[in-house]
Amino acid sequence: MNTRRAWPGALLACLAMPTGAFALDWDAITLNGYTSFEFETQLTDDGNGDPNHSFDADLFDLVFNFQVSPRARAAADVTWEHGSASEDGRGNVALEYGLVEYSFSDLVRLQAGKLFVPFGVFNEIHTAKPVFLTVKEAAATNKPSRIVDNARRFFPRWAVGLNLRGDAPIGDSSFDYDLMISNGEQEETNPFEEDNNEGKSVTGRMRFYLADRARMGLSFHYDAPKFDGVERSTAVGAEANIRIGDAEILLELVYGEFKLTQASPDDPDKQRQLGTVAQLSYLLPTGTTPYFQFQTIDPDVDADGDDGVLLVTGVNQEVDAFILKLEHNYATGGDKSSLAAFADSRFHEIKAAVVLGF
Amino acid sequence: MRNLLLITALLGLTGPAVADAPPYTVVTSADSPLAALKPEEIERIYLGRVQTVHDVKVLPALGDVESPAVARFLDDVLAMDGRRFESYWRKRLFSSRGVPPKVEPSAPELLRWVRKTPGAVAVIPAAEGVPEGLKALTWAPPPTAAPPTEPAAPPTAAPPTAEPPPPVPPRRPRHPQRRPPPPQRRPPPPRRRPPPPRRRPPPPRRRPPPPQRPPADAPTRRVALAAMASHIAIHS
Repeated sequence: MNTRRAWPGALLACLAMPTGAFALDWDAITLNGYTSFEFETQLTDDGNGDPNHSFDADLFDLVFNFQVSPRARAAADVTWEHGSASEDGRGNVALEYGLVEYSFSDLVRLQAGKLFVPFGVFNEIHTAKPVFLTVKEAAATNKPSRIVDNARRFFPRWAVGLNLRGDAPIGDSSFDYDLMISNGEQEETNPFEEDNNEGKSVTGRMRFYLADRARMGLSFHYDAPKFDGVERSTAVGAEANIRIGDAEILLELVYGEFKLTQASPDDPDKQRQLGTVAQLSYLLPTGTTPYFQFQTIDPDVDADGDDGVLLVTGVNQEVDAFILKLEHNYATGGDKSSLAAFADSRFHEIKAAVVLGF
Repeated sequence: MRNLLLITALLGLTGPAVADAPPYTVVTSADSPLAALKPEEIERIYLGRVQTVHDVKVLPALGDVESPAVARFLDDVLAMDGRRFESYWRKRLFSSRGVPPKVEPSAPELLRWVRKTPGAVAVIPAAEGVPEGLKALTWAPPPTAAPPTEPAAPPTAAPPTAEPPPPVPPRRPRHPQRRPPPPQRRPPPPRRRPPPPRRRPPPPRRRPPPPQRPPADAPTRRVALAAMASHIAIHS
C-alpha cells in the first residue's frame, strides 16, 4: 500500500467523520451582520465631542443563528469595534451575546448565556445601527454618562444568566415578555464568569402590541452591585412607540434609585435619577427619514442644576442597501452639571455614518 | 370604495368573484398537517410571534420579493410595506429574538423547499395556482362569523382540498369574526335606552370595530422590496 497516498485519504476521512455526525444543514444556519463607518466633528471650541474631525471604523458585527432542532436554537453576535488590533491594544473585540434557547412553547422559551439585559427600548437594539435612526443609540436611558459625567447607568448592558421569554396573543393584540435572573454587575470579578455576592440581579420587561401600530412596554431592574459606592440599584422604565401613517413617535422614561454606601452619616444615602427620550420621525417614499430626538438626564432629582439635555436633529437616507446618516447634536446642561465646564454650558457636534445591514 | 366592497363580500351579500381577490396564495406542502390558517395566525407567523401552530413548527417564507403579490401580502396581512417589514425583522434579528422568514426569489427553489420542509409555509403569486405537491392554506371562517343574509353567497374560502382553492386570505380579512354582526344581534330599539339584561348588546370585545382602512398611499406606494432580499436572512 502506498502510504503517501493513504495518509491524505485517512486525514480526509477523519475530517469528514465529525462533519457528517454533527454538522447542521445549511438551511438551519443564518448569517447576518451590520457595519458602521462614522465621522464626528465638534463645531465649538470645547465640548465632549471630537475636535479633530475623526473617522471611526466603529464596528463590524456578525450575527449567527443555528436552529439546532425544532425547539433548540443557538445565537451569537460577535463584534469588532474601532478597527480591532489586539497586537497594538487597539479597539475592542466582544461577544455581544451568545446564548442557547429552548422553546417549550411560544409562551415559554428559556435562554441561557450572555445576553443583552432586557430593559427598555435601546439596550436590546444595542449598537445595531441599521435599526435605529441616530448615529449613536440614545444615551439618556442607556448610557447617561455620555451626556453628564456623574450620571449612573440604570442597568448593566450585558448579563450572564437565565432568561425566560415568550409571546402570546390577547384578542386583537399580543404581548411579549422577558424575565432574566443574572449575576448582575460588578467589577471585582468577571461578572460573566462569577458573581461577587450571593444576591442575584432580576430584570424584566413586558410589551403590549396594540392595533399593529402601537407598542407599550414596562421594564424593571434590580441589582445589589456593591461596587462604585452603590449598595443596591433599582430602575423602572416605560416605553411607547406609535406609528401614524409614516410618522413614528417613540417615548421612553426611566427612573432609577441607587442606595449609596455612606462613608459618613452626612453623606446622602440614595440617589434618584431620571432619564427621558422622545423621538419623532417620518419616513418619506424616497427612503428619507428626517428625525428629531430630545433626551434629558437628571442624575440627581433632589439636586438642582445638574441635569443635561441632548437634542439630535438628523436624517437617514437609504441608498441601495446602505443607510446614510447625518445629524447635528446639541448638548446643554445646568450650571452644576459637567457641561458647565464648556462655554455657555453647551457644545455642538456633527455626526455622520455609513451603515450597512445584511 | 374598496372597504365597502370588502365589507359587502364578508357579509356574504355578493359572491367571491366581486371581492377584491388578493394576488397571492399562502401554501404549504400537500402532506403537511396544517389545513387552514386564520389571517391573524398568518400575521403572527410572519411577525415571528408564534412558531408553532396547531402543534406544527412553522417555517415561513416569501416568494419573489419584487412581485406585487408579496407587497400586497405584506400590506394586507401585516399592515407593513417592505421597509417596515425589513426594519421590524432587523430589530428582532439583531436582538436575538429569532430569524426572519426565508426569502427565496427563485420560484422553483421556493416550491422545492416548501415541498421538502415540514412545516414550511410560503407566499406565492396567485397566478401560479397551487403547484403540484402543495396545498393552499385556506382561511376557514370561524363559527361565530356573521351568517350571510342571502343564501346564495358561498363562503369565500373553500376546503383545503378543493381544486383550485381560492387565494387566501381575502383583502383585509384580519379579524373577520369581528365584522359587523347581523341585524338580529343588534340591540333592540330604542337605541338610547338600555335593553333588559338578557337582551343586552354583545360585550365590547364582540362589537364590530370600525373597518380597517389601508394606508392612504397603499395602492400607490412603490415598495422597495428589492433590497429586502439582500438584507434579510441568508439561506442556502
